[in-house]
Amino acid sequence: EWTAEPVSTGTTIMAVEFDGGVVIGADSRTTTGAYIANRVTDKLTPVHDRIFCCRSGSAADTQAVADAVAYQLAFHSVELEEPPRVRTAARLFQQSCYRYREELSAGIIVAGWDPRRGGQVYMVPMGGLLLRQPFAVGGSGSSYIYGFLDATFQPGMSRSQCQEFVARALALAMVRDGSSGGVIRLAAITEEGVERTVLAGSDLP
Amino acid sequence: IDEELLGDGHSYSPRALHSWLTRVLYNRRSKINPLWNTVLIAGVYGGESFLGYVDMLGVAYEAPSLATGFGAYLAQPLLRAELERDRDRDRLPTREEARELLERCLKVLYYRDARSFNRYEVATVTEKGVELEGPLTLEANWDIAHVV
Repeated sequence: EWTAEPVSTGTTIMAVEFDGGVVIGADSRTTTGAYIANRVTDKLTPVHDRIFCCRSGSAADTQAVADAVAYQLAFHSVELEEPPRVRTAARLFQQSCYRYREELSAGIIVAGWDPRRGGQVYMVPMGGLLLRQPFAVGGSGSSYIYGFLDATFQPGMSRSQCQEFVARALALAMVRDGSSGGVIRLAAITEEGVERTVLAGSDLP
Repeated sequence: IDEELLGDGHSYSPRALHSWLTRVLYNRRSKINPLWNTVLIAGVYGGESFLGYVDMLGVAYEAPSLATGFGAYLAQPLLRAELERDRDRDRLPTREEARELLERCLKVLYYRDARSFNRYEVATVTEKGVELEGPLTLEANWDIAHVV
């Protein structure tokens, strides 16, 4: 039966804006049905130096779209002779996801930093909608934490507060959602660069 | 399974219990109204140890090692490899070795079964009775996450 199930990044993904950048996070589990094909997946994919995407849904679909967008952005960035805007990256994702909405199964969160508008988070869920939000969650595990997020989120959190917020939310989702688990991968994107961390086992809140 | 303690000195042997369960499960399945369970019976009776499996289809057997669900795919090969290695030297694993083997299997299952959790209990069945330990927590190794 596992051959019939597509490989899915079951997932919980999350991104939060703060003044000066964004914090993004994801779990690390990829499943084919109930079997964990990869327990240390990296779902935080760079599409440019300061722009990342969090992938959920079909592993193949999201990888393919992310690769295409990364290429388009690289090209566009050379033409512009400056770093691309996060909004542009999100718009490129949206164009692919909407055009091929019937064939794709991809829920993506685009987040990053650009000189024009600082840290930004955009969600491109299945169907191809584009929406900017102060924070966004996605993936099967996200359903379990909406209550926690609504009760806990405050606008204007600092970078470390955001990291803690993301880590706690992901940990809660990973416990409850069978399709999410493994380690928590975090990344903080700011003007200075990208700082990646991994929280595992006992480090999980 | 409620044993009426009539104090008459009789109780079910593991083998008898297994047989009864098999009949119940198989007949329910034959009426297209199964009890959706997989049961492992572990017991000691008359100095002999017994290990039996019955599932919702009424499939039933005895074996030196048993596993259900994902365990059948992931744990059973590990258990059998260990038991075969011991059998070639005409011995059975010691209690500690068996316990350690079980925990190794549980760890693999936690890594690879999306519907698993890292808490477990262990029951050891001997002539003297049943010793239940737990709930215990599995230690997981996530070092490879840093290699990716």
